[in-house]
Amino acid sequence: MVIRVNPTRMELLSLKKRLVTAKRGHKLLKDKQDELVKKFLDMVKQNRALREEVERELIDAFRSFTMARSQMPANVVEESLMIPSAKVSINVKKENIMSVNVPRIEISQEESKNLYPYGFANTSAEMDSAIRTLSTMLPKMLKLAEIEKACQLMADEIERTRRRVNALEYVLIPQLENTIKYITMKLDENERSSRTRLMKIKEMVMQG
Amino acid sequence: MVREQEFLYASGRIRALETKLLSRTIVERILEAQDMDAVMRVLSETDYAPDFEELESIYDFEKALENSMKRTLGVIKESLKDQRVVRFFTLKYDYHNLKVVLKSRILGVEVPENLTTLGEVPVEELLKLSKGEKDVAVPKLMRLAFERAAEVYEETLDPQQVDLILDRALYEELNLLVQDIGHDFLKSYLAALVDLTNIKTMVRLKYMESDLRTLKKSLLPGGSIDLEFFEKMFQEPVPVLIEALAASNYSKVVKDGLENWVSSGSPAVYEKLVDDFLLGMLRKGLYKPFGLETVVGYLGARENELKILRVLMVGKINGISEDMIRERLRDVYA
Amino acid sequence: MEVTLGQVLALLGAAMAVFLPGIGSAKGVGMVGEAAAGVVTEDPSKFSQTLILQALPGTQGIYGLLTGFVVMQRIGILGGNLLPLTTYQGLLVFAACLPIAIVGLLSAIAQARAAAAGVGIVAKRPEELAKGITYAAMVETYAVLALLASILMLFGLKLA
Repeated sequence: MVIRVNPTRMELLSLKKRLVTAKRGHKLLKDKQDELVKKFLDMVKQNRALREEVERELIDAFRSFTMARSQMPANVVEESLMIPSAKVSINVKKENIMSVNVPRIEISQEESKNLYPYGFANTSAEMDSAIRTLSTMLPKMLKLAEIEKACQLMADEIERTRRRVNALEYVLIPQLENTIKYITMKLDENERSSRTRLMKIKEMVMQG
Repeated sequence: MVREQEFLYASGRIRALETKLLSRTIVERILEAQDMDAVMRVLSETDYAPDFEELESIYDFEKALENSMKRTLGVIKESLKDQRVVRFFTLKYDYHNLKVVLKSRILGVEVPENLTTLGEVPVEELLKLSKGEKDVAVPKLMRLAFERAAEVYEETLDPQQVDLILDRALYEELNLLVQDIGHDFLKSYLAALVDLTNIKTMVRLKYMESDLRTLKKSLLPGGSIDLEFFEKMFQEPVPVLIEALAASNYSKVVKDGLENWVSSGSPAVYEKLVDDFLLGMLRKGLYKPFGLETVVGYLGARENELKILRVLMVGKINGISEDMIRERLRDVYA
Repeated sequence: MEVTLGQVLALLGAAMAVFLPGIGSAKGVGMVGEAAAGVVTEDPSKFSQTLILQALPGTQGIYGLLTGFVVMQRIGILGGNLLPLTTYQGLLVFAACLPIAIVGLLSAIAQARAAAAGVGIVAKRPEELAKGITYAAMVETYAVLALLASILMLFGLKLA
């Protein structure tokens, strides 16, 4: 395909400039894509490891909670945990990785506060370890959420970059090249025709 | 002091009721049941059949357990003139409701499903108390404990304080009640209960890396081991505690239970051994022809039975392995 | 007719022989009855078995009454002409009444406890009723021995 332009020398010059820019852009984008994919693969690996860890620990935490539950009447469990004692606040910030804004979650937990909101006379000691495990789970789960979201955003960005690289590589650059070729040919042809015309005129002048 | 003869009728009745307690065989059959339907089939042969039949969903099994306990308490109450012995068992339910009512007020919510129907003080009165009404039919000790717990919560904003204060108040009142009844069997039972709970609390607090102040607030009054002992042991590692209690009645429970706790990190075995030890004490009621022991033994046995069923039901519903259930399964009484 | 101190003492002995075991038996039968009622509330089919156990502590009262009759017959009160007993004779009669009076009272209560335990056996294993009865009946031996002692003493006395 060819861009519809006037086949003038001016156009040719500007098209050539555009082609150079497009080629440089293509190279840059290609580099960015490679780097993104590398980072992405890293993160996915990290993500999978963390996900497996969290899932394993969650199963443990739920099991120990279930066992604690089996040692007390349901309403005693409910009563024990009615008011949570530890408060956690979350602060979400943004971080730029290869022009992708990924979230960074920061947790602030009141350190001094007691983790266990219940008394000891009628609760099972199995509850303690369940609560302890669950409380260590929270930072990990937030970390997992963070990485998972980042992976998602990176994947989007990779997709977008790939599309742009392709557009440059398969559409814009060939188009420019074709147009340049076309203008060059057109200009050459013009030259040739004007030359033949000149030769013709010269011949007529000589005969006359 | 109570007279043994007062318990003749109740004892006779209990002798007949003891035959309906869950046997080892039934417990084993529930444990080996393939699915919940099989569990229900086994239960339908027991005294729990009517309670479980009423259930809409098996997840409500706590309701069935509560109803069956309610029936038992009713039977024993109507068989006794002096119901202080029954109060020894029901007092904890009132204090539970007290905690729920206070915590609901703090949160500004209503959670009727967390209340128990086994208490003797009407819930409406407790709710009135929490709304700050003056003229309420709540016993004085409970009212004072409630107010103290509310005050301390406002100062500290620590929900644990609510439980600690009300737990302590419960055991103080239990001690008074036992003094008032004046029966050695009940006294020694309460003392053992308090001692074994205090040992557990101390070890729990060690694992929580808590401080001496919390320990002092968490220990219950009325045990035979004085509180200074725990304060001293709190700084020591668990094996020293085991050594120090080697000459006491609890040596076996403490040794086997705590050693397992330290090595496996799970308190399950200790908790089971404690319950089995207390049940062993209660078994005196099984062999005494009649008397307070028989009544206390039976009520304790019923509570123990609920614990057995709870472990079984929760375990079966959640598909917990047989070993893990068995590790937590209490002895049967008879 | 002149009433002597001996006559008063003899009659007092007879009264004691009747009322002390009577109290014991009443109490004993009552105790077993209460325990039995408890069992029957839960399981009415146990009525007849528990009734047998309840009757056991009742015998002491009968022994006491029997001793009382023997005294009355010996001192002639049944025939209407009371013997003119000396103080010592009266004391002898009184002493002869003591075994059944005291043993009757205490053994009835002891037997009631054993029988109440027997009620417990019936509640759990009705087929073992005989064993429950046997345990309670062992106590009876001592009531019978006391009765024997009292009666022998009374017949041995020369009052006329």
